[in-house]
Amino acid sequence: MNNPTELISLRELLVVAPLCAMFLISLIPLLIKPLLGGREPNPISVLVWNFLAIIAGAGISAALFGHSFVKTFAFSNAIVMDGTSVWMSYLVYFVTAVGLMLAYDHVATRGRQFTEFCFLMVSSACGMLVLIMSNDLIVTFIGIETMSLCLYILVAMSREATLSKEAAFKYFVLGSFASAIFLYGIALIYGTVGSTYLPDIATQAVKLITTNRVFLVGAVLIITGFAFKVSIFPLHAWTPDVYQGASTPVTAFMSTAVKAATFVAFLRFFTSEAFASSPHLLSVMTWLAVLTMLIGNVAALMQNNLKRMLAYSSVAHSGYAMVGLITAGFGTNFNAAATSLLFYLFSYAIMTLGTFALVAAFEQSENTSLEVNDLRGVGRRYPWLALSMTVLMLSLAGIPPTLGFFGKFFVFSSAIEQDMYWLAFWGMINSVISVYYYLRPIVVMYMSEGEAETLPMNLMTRGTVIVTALLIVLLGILSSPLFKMVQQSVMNQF
Amino acid sequence: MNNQVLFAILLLAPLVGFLINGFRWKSHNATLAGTIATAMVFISFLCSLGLVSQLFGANAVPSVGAKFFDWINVGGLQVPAAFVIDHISAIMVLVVTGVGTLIHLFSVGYMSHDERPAKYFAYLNLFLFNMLLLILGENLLLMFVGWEGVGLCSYLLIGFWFTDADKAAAGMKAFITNRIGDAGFLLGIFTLFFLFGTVSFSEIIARLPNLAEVGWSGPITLACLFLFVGATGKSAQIPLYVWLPDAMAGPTPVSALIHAATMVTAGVYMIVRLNPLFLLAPNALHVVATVGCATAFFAATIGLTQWDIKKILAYSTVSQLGYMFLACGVGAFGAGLFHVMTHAFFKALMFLGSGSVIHAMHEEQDVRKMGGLRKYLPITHATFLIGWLAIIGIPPFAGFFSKDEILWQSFSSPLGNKVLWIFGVATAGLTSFYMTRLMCLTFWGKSRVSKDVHPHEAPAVMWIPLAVLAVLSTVGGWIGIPAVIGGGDNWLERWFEGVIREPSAFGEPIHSHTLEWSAMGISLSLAVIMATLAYTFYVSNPSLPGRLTQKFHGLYRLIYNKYFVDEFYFGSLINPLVDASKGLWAYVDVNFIDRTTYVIGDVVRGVGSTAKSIQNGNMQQYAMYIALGLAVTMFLILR
Amino acid sequence: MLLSVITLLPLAFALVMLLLPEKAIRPVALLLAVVEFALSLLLLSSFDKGSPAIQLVEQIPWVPEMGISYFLGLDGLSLWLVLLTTFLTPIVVLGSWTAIDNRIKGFHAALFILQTSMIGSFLAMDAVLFYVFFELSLVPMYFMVGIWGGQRRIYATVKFFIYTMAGSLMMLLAIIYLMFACRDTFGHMSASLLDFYRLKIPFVAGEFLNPQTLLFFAFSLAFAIKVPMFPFHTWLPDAHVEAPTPGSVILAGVMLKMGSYGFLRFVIPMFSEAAGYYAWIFIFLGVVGIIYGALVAMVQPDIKKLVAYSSVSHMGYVMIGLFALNTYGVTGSLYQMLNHGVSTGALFLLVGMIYERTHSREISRYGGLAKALPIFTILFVIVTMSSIAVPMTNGFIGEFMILMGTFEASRPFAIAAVTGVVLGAVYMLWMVKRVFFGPAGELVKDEHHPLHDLSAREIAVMAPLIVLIFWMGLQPNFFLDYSKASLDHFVKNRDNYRLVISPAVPSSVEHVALRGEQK
Repeated sequence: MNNPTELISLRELLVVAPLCAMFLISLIPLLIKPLLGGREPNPISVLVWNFLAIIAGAGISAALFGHSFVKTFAFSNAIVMDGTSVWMSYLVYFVTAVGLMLAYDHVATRGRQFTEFCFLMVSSACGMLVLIMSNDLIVTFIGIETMSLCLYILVAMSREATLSKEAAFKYFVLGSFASAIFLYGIALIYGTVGSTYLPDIATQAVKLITTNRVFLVGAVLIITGFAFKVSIFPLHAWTPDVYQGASTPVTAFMSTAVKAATFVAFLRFFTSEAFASSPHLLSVMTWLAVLTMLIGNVAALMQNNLKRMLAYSSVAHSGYAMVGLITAGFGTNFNAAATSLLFYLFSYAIMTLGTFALVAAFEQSENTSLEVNDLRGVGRRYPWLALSMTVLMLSLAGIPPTLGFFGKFFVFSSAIEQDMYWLAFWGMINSVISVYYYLRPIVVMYMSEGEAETLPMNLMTRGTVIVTALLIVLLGILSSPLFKMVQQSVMNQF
Repeated sequence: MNNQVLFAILLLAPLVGFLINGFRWKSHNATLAGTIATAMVFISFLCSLGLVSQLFGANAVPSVGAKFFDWINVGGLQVPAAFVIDHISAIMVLVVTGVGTLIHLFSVGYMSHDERPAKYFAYLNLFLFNMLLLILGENLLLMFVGWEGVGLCSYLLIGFWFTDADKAAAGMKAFITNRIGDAGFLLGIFTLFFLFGTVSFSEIIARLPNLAEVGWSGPITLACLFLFVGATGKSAQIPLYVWLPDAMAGPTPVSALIHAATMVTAGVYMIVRLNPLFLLAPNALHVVATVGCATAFFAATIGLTQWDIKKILAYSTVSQLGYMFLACGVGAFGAGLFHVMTHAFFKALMFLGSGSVIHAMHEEQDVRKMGGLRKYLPITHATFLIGWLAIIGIPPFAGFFSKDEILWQSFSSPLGNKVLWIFGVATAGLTSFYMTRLMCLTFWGKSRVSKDVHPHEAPAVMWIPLAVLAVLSTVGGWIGIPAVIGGGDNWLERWFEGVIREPSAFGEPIHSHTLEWSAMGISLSLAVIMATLAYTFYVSNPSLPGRLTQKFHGLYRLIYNKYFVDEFYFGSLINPLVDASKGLWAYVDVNFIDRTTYVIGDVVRGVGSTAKSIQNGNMQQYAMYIALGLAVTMFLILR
Repeated sequence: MLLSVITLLPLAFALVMLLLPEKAIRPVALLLAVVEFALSLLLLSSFDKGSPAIQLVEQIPWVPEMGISYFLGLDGLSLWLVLLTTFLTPIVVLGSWTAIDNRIKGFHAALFILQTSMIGSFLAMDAVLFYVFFELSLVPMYFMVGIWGGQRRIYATVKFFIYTMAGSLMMLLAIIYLMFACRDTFGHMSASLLDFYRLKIPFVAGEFLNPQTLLFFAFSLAFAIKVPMFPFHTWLPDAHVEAPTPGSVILAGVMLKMGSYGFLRFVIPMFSEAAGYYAWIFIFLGVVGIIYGALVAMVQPDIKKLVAYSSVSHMGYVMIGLFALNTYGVTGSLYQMLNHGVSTGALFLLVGMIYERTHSREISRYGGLAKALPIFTILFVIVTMSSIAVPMTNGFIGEFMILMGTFEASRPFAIAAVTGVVLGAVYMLWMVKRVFFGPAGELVKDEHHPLHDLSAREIAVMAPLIVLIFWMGLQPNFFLDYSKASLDHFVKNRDNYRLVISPAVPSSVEHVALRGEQK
């Protein structure tokens, strides 16, 4: 522990250096803009600056912490830099970079306020980094808020007229509702534990969980707060509307990075095995997971709008991730479960990015809402895109040997390891249901007659689609190295 | 030349013929194709002579055999491709190849105007190959191979003129009916294999127990019954005889070869081959005897009323086969095989004769349109006459001895009884009646031939076989002259000593020459009486039959329509089965099994639409969901 | 090395297909397929008939954290199925020469991917690897049916995909369970079949909720759907009828075998008690399938659908043979798998050939075809004979063995099954009669487009199949000798089944047992 007299030490600065660097560099285009007299700087340069920011962040964290996964605490242990943080932050950097590229290509986001757009996306990413590293509920809250506030605006920032604004408004109101709940939960926890420091809570929980109801209420409230962000039933209602309303790059960004970051925080909260000793918590969580999968999948069955369908599918996927979380929180073998969860997050992020990138690639004007049937004839006209889409869909459906399959495989195996057959069983049932709607785009692309309309030459977007598809196959076949890395990052971290 | 080679040639010659003609199936040259085919069969005949000769003479061997390769070796099942000629198969192989040669020869003339003679002869040779497998195979499985093979060929040959839907249907009927029998045969093979651990005839017979089985459920009895089911299929016994009359759709020489002389007797041959086994299952033998006797009588009655010359012969064949089974049933296996041989001669003769008639009449088969053909077809008539004498059992023609032997055995054998004998004799009478009727309607009386038909005697290639067969039908029976007539003992019985056992286990046969003479007398006189009766009916007083049929109208219609057995089978079995299958498809498969999958899908969709409907974009509602969810969660956790 | 080459080479071929120009594809594809077949023939020479051990083994850790490895091995059970696959592929390529006229690239690529996945699932000795191949095989077939299929192709292909996948997912759970069971028993996770065999899974006769029974049924479901065993066959008629000819050939010829092979490789040896206890269910359903399939086939108005239902009937034989659990039954089943691959494949090819000419498969519109297409007729009748198991054709050996094994296991069932022998003849010959015999039907007699008899190519397609039909019928020992050792081992040591890697240790059960203790 560091002594309180000393002010912030260099070491502590180093811990937050990556995100500071990223944030500061991302400010530069924002400062350039007034110098140009409020004229929009060349989007390329903006993009480049923000890339620099991301690279800086990623580079620093790689240089400082990438090699060894020793826990490094900072700010009186409120922030922890460990393997998980490093790896998940890489994911965030990656997603943000891709998000920016998509945004650059996309009609709905390129143009007048591109500078601000990029800045907001990056600073939202900073929020996520905080969230990932937070070892203290207050910091977690700050992370969530930073992330969310930027997102509210990002959702609104689309050329598209009404939908995005409405979505932003909903997201904002409901989001703040959830944040309020979350904050209230923190208060109750602090009231009972006397600290918001996660390790303290973990230690205290052991006795409090059974004796003290207030503590339990607080825990539930906090869970609810997280559940909202990762859109767990019944707090998922906003997801389809917002995902559909937001401009696709933003959707891609929030559907992946937000979930990943929040799940990490969620996981950190569940570190203690004490929660297992609560009689009902497990069963309730299980039911939530099952219902989330079920609702997400069956609702997705009924969608014709591609984005909306993917939104529901992402709900379902939070359900699968929940399985990993539950096995981590209530099982005996925390590391294995946590590994499977993080691995799942990786696979999920890559798949979803790819699919939304494809959606983005097909959106002509800011007002297009892409129906599944609009993919007609793509198979003939854009064979490589179609092939990648196929891979992505099959991976989402969990067909071997894709990354998606192994993601599910590890999650379910950790569930079975914990004798949670019920969960695994439901997971399987759901992946059968999901196959149906994941196959639909393939059917349309290849098997139904019709001509695909010409696409704008948005290289980066198409590139993203194809690259992610490649990644999915490669990381699927060579899943072992990735798995090992994740495993090491989790080892003796919690 | 050693036996291995002889056997190889014996078996392969017809196969080679099949391949040669098969690959030039387009050819229209009947003479060439026929010559090749006939030559091949004749080669087999010579080979079989060479092999059979080793069973005679000073250094006679009980049997000659050859083993070529291991066909199936799985677990305990060892099936070599091994063949044997012993005193039983010797007779069969000679009959089959000999008569076969003659019929091939006849076909050269008969099929001369057909458009696909090569194909025809290819099939015919293939049939002979399979028949030889059936006869010579040293184990049940090889016999089964031939058994199904001949069925296949009969299918192909019955449906030879396949453009006629009925002929094709007849072929199909034959194959499927046979298949029912084959299923029984298979079960028989299984039972025997798991009983004795082998399928080889010699080994099975070697491992037989000493005591006969009583009751019905014994394994040997079951095996025999299963095998007999096979026999009823192949040899057209009740209830599976229905295919044989329809099988007349095929070319007439085919009817002569397959459906009179050789294939249809396979069932009898199989039982004779396994006679020691059957002798251990008296109940099974009773079944055989009863079914045989019933079939003999039943088919004979139908024969009385038919107008199609080939149909009459077909029913007479069924009836005669009944005799053979009757013989086997009463334990007179030798007599059965004896009748197989003589019947092969005279029935082949009559079929070929009818073929010559049909040929002469330009494919006319209805005897009502014939009559008085004697003067047009002298040779055919002469030979046919001999066949007639043989079948109605006039000494010294072949039929007399074999049939008489059977009748006497059915009377005297410990396994026989009076009822069997009475029906046997009655059948003899009927046979003589309808055969005489056939003669009258076809050859005698006044001609009813329509003006535009000019019957002509068959060419030499066709009448030579007739002549040879006529001779055989005359002298063929003399190898089995019973002791009571010939003074010396029965040559055939000595020939069969050792390979065919006596039903001595069931008591002493009746030895009484007076009885034997009188029995002989009864059947003979009955035959003569019926013959004269038929003559008066159809020659002297042609109006009589008409009046009679008027009198017994109902009975006549019943018999004329073959007791409506086909109609019964279709009405009670086949059509219901087809309808039931349609039902299965429509209701079980489409509407149940398939539907259930949809139902699951619909349920999921239903849930989906509800899940969709709560998603109405109304924010307050979303907030309410959150609140509700929270409340419920709280309750569940804190309860 | 050989096994990996044989398994993965087609994958490379698939890439080649994507890079080639359109018109070069067919010949090259044929060439490559033949090369693959030639390579696979090397297996025969390098395979040791005498030993039941798995041979030519290749084992590389794949996901060591979970004990999953890339583990290929060959034994008497899989040898002929692999060869069947490599044998049918060139035939299919040649057979689809004119049938497939659009998107040839994609088609052949799919075909080769399919080949890899099929061979892989026959050779995989690691449960997860097997599962990967097993599921992967759905994807190319899904495209084959969906893109090159008939009218209702999309419905059919989606149904096929979901139905079969739904079955296999429970199997995945079971596999994972077993992997952890390995960890609890041997101290290390493992998905290797050799370890699965050595597991002792508790079994309680008569009650359902015990590990072995549940696992048994989880696996069985997956394979029963694949086979397909009555009443899980509902996907098959649709898939078969809508699939293009090559699709049907592969589907019937090989993919169904993946199901029966699963029973042979996984279900029966791994859960011997349960298999023994519940065998009657499978024999019963098998017999029902035989009769039911035959009856429904009998009344089909569509030739291809008739053949499809006949598959249900034939695979019913395979099932009862497997669960007769004796030498004759199991041997017969293995043989019947190959027979069905050959004869039903041939039937589908022939149906495809006639469909190319008349664009109709309605039996009622045919008739008198024998006069118009003699050669076609001859081939069709030969194949029919094989399919109704006339002696001297391959069908007879398999069916005879199976019925014999069933007879040993349970006489009533055998007697019921024997009716299939009759019904098989009924539905096939009735169809033959209506299509080929009788007066010329409307499709046959119209002068405007007279039918042409088989081309040299089509005869070349059929020739190898015809040869095989008789070869397998006359010389079954040649084929069975390779599998004998494995099959005997399978039947004898069913209650305590072990496989060893040859030539690592002598193939005697005691040794393996010892090795188990040492672990």
